[in-house]
Amino acid sequence: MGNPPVLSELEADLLNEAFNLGVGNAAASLSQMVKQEIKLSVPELNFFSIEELSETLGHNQLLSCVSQTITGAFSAQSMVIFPDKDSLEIVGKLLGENISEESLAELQDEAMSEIGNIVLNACIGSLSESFSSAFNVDLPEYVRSTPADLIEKKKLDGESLILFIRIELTLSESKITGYLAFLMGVESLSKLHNILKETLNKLL
Amino acid sequence: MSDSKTVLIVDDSKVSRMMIKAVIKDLQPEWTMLEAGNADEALEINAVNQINYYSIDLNMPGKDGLELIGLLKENNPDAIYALLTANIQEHIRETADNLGAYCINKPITEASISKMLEYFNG
Repeated sequence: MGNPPVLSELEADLLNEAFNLGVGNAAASLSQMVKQEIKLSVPELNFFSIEELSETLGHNQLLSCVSQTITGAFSAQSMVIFPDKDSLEIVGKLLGENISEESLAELQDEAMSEIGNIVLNACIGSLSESFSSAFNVDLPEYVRSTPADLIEKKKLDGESLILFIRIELTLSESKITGYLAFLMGVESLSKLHNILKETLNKLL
Repeated sequence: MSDSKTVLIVDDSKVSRMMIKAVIKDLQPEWTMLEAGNADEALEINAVNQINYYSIDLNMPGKDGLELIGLLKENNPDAIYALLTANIQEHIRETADNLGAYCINKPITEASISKMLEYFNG
């Protein structure tokens, strides 16, 4: 297992702010889709090993995850993760009250992929803007599984660490905690670290 | 008479404050810039300084930007307020409008901060 990069206070701040922007943009789009206010917490950012991720999310918790591979200045498997029990509720809000439970379940995959796609693209767009570098984004893929299986399926070649971002989304009455995870190899993490350094150098 | 104004920059991100300050320093070098990393700090600074303009981030730990603007306005109703956010949802814009604050779309760039300064300068 590689060691997580040690970010300086300003580097961590810069990365956090890039995600803040992305998630803020995503919330604005999602709010239009579900036609209600979405409140967001300030994102909390950590570097996790795969074991730590499983521990944080609960080993047996069923997760609903949309992932997209990004390549460019660095590569990552980017993921939006919700507890599976909340995902039907999110889909329900998206599609409106008048839809039967059967249709909801049927449309779950498609609707979650769409939500994931919006959130991830907003974040990647904001990373790209903050760091002046372009990324290619593959099509979204929807998976339901436990944390360990999820990471197993999405594993990159070689050692990898997870840049893990926790965000609380509050949709009117219901509070749903969603997560963003960027599964990255050691090489990509060091590229990301360099991008942060260079971006700060230009500012100072 | 000198046209020296004081602006208070409130943002939990130090990098964001640095970026905002860099643009203001460039375009309004005679202004005094004060900064705070959260709402409570902003209220303390506000209590002992005469502020003309406020640049306030929406999404901060503790009190958010809208709540802060409400509190600052009680003391300083004649100042000019800008709310900076990437998250311009309809209800946020409405709440900001009702408070008499102007929404500026993040990211922080020379263009977005210039727009804020134009607003400050009427």
